[in-house]
Amino acid sequence: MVRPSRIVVGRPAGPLAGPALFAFGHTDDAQRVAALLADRIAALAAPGSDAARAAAECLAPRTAWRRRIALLEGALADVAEARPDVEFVVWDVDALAAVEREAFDVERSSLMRRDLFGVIERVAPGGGWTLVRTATDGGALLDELDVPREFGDAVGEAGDGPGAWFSPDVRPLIAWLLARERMSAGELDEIRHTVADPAGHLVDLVYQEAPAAIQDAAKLVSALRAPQHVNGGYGRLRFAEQGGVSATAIPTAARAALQACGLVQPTAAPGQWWMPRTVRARLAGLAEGTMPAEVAALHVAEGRAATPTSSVSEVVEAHHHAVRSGDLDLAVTTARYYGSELAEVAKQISRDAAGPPASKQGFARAAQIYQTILDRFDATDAYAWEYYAYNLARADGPSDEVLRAYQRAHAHRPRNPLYHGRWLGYRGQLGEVVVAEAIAGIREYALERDQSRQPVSFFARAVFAGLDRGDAHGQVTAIRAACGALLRDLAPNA
Amino acid sequence: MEIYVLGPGVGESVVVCMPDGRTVVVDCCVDDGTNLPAALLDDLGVDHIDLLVLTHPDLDHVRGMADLVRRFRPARVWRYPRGLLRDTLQVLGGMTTAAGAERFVEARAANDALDELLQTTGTVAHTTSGAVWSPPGAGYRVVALAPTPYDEARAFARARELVERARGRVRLTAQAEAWFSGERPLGDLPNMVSIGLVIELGARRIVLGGDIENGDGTPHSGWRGVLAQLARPDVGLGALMDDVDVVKVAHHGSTGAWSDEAWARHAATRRPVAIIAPYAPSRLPTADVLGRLRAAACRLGITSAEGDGAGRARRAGWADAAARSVPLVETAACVKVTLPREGDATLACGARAAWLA
Repeated sequence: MVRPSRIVVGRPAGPLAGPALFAFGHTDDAQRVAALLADRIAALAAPGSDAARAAAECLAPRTAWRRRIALLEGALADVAEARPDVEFVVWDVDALAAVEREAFDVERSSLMRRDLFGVIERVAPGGGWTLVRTATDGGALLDELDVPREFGDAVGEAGDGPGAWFSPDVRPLIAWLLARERMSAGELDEIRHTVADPAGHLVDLVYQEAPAAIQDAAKLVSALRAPQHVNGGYGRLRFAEQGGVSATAIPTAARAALQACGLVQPTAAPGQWWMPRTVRARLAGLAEGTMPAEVAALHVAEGRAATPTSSVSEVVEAHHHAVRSGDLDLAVTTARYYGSELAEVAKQISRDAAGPPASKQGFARAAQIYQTILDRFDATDAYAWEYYAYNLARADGPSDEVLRAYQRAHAHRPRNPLYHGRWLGYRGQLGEVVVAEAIAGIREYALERDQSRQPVSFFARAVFAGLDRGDAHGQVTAIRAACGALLRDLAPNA
Repeated sequence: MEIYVLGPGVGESVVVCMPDGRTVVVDCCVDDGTNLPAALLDDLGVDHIDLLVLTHPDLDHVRGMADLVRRFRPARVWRYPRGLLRDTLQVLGGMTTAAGAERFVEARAANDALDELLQTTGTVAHTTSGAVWSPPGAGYRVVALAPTPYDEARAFARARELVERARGRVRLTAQAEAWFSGERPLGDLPNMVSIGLVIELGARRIVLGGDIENGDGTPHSGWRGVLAQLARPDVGLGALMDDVDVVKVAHHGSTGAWSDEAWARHAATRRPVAIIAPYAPSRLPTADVLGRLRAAACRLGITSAEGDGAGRARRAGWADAAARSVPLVETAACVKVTLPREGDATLACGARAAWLA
């Protein structure tokens, strides 16, 4: 009989029947969790079974994302049925379920996250899953899931007062602030009712109370993604009895203090700790701003940690850090299961190349990375096609190759108005008449009227930019004449 | 109880000598190279500070603070909620232009000194509305009026707006660039976290308004927020604002810091003595506030003639010292108020060199 699935709000009580896979709200969440799920399936499935074959194909670097997702869905259901003694655990599942959408120029990670969450939504009601909710303010999608709910250990830590209104990940912070008399129950209630981001503010309050060394330790730990790492969630950081915070060590007292004040919290596994998403999101930017050298050194050290015999979990973490270290060679070397994260490195190179002064060499280098993603990994990656074309065009690459790449991006993601607009714009730049298609596109995207994402604006600006580069001013005039009112309303900056 | 308000025209500090010999010092200022509160304490023969309050990180309140902390090693410090300031200062290191640099140098020095003290004594506390210090058996208490939790969060959010990550790197926002280059004023950002105090001794009450302003106009912000916070049933300190004896007027007498609601409470049945430390470059106090004070306060002391605050006061109806037939305008770098347990407060002023008899 299949083990029933459950949604646990707060830290699950008692042992779990499988390792927890953590979501962090990072760009690699979907690819990483998919790879870790495939790895788990490979460990659980009978050798030679369909599930085992699906897992192996999932982990093959060239397997397209869509295929990977479809394989996972089938294999997960098979394994849950065959192995009722185990469960799949996703920690902070709300990070995957987050409903906000990214802008059209960077939407790849949210689309993939939505795909993966869709798989979980479909397979979890069949049994075998524990979905842990630690930050419950963004998980509207989970409310629709037909899986029973229960409360975990951490939920009661802030008492029955106003603290009960807050997410489980914030409650240890509240408990600490109340115990230190830094905040009264009345003030907490005041914060809840008057402050725009109460959870984030509570993180600020705890952070403010900490001595400088603890603040620095907290910032450094925010660059790690515990607990996928070794050492109880602290990666390769040492705990030093003496001395301050460095790229390789934090004071022993700082570790104890971080755990006491709730900036770092226990997981369900003994001795394993993690920094919740609410805290991490607050501190990571500060860390990059105030400790760039230490953070960079930490990323390099973690990025170099993978060896040929490392586990899937170790490799994906090393790759995450390698990408953030900015070391392109290290990032490419550690990209063993998926290449989509290399886009982060390429994006930075491309932005630097935009200058001033602009650098064609920089654009060519960025294009090369996107080409690597397409050649060695997922050839259906619309984002990689788009920015391969974009950078190649700015590096004065062959126009037929640029055109082909823009076309492929649009073909793989036809509903992205930016990709569509750039493809049309580039064709217009080369001299093709695209007026009719552009007018049709504006009218079509106008029907979507997505206020927050402004599809008409993305589309029209991309088309006009291309036409302007090709001095096709007549076409611009014709499009404006046909769609003037729509453009004024929906794309005033176009 | 003796209250010394020090203000050379740019800068403000208050020294309160309690009847039991304890000393409260609020903020710090420097005039012509002399640390005014330190010099006053030396002249008074006081070698300790029992409570030091750093209201907010504006240069006119923080200049000389590091020196004061290291010399007097205060037994207890109330520090404004500094939130992300340490990080902001680190990010800004090397980014700021000369126009804005001194503020951050002084603020950083003060915070470093307080961090040292925190490490050795553990008596530095971030302070918000409702905090109370009441030494056992002393018969008085010091209560923090502000900032409210709402304003504290608002200040943190604004501090986050100073820097941004763009193209993968941390840099100043355009708004912050304008602030630090002097093209735009910092606005009310530092004042959002300003601590204000009430000292209550028996039936006597002194309000030291810091730089509390009227915030963003919501019921949770500025003076309205302070009144609402104190009146909350779980705080129960609403009466502290009523029938006050002495008021150090908030934010140098700016119109944005004037609160009809607060002053109606301060002067419910009797009018208090008002003291203003001007901020001469911005021509504070304003004529508007000086005029309103004619109805709300019984006497007025202005700590400096710089910026012609006294002239504006006379034009607003306050007589000068020579007239003596109407309430005085006392003008000097130091205005002293003596508040006996009963009877009227007396007001005197003196130059920095001699202080007051």
